[in-house]
Amino acid sequence: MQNLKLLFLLAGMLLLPLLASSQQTMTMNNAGLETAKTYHAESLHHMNAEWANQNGETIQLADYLGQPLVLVMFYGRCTGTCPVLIQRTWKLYSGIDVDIRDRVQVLAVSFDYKNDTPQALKEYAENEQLDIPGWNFVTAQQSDIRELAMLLGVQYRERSDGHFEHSNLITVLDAQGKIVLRSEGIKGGLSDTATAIEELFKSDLQ
Amino acid sequence: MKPVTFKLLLPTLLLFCLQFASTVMAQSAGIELPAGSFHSVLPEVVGEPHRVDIFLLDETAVTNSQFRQFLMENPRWSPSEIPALYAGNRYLQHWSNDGNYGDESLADLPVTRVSWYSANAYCGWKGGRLPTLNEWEYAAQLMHFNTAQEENLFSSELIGWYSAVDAKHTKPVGSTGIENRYGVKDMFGLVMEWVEDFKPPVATDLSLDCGTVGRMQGTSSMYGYAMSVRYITRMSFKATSTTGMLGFRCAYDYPENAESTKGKSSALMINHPNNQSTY
Repeated sequence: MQNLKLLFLLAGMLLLPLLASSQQTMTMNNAGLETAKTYHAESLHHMNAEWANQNGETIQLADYLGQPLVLVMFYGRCTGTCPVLIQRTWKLYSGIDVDIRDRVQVLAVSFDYKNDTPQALKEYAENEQLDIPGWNFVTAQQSDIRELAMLLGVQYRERSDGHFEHSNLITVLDAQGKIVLRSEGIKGGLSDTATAIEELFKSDLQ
Repeated sequence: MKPVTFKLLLPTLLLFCLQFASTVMAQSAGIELPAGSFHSVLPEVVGEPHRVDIFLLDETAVTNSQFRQFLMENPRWSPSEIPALYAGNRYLQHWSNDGNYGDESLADLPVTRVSWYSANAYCGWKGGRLPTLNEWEYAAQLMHFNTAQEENLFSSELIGWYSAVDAKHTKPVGSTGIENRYGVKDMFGLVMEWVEDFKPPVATDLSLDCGTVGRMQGTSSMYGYAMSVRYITRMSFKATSTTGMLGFRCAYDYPENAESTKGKSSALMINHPNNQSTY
């Protein structure tokens, strides 16, 4: 009998830390599962970068979970194609059905992390008359900007004169953060893209 | 007498501490490389070589133990948690456990089987970034050769190395004995390295055939040929690639208000491989 008690005691001593550690691994696994559950494997919502907008507020891509997002990359000092690209994004936006347009979110990300501070972005947005609800002009730390560009397939390179060579791309993410549309270039009609965005909202309601 | 000594001792100690701190900081922030320009194998405007601003570059590639530290502080980049979006399924495959390389003898080997995304995140975590393609190439060309012959010999060995990077028998960082004039080590002979824009905008116009190699070569030098092989290999990577021959090191912007020891405007001009007059 004594021996049995001792055995239980010993077993308990041995098992306790084991149990404790297995509980730890379980919570860790759960956390892993949760992220996998929340975001689609190809979702850009996996990005945990913090973006600062023209009002100094912090935005994460995961904030857009449940709603489609129009993404465009540009830089504020650009006098060449960027105003065109931003205006093209506006043209796309204004081509969307009035009832839906108010719910469309636009995120304009600058590659110029040195010059496009939130204040500079505020001025830019005001100049372009796009400091309006739903439109965010953002910046972040350089490696985050690079990461997003790589995910979108936007190529850019800073030239020695401080200007950037870059792709002209408007990307649309669905409510889950997956890339569903890419509109490349600065020419051509946008009505198909606008219709596709409307469809995203309609399918979302069902 | 005594208070005087004490008064002297304190600033001396402080100075010593400051000096020590700045040495440590200099070590972690990489080696300073002066502004300059170089010729690459990519098209350039005639008479306008690629310009590079002053910047800092890590002395060596990032090691297994440094990368493990990053994973400990950022578990979302560990093999079990990293989304498929960010890395292929061979990500850190050679490490024995999740987020651990096991055998301590591997601590100083360059970390490989890391995707561009994870390398980019590591450098961001370090307060830096990946070097741009031009920065990397510029640093790689800051080699010192006594004669053109010496350079040719080096280049032909380089071609041999690029044609068969040994991913299975990697050696510790700093072990190649190859370093540039500023002390940046192992840019050749250890692993290939990620750069920030490994697919530059021009890359979409180039295909990876022999004709392209010939065209990119431009000059007939051995070094130019080795460089073409490197450019073309790099363009074949995807951002999620996790191969055993691919590691990385980080770069850092030159602090805006810092005083350079080498002069910000000392614009170094590298003329080789096509201008032999530099010898």
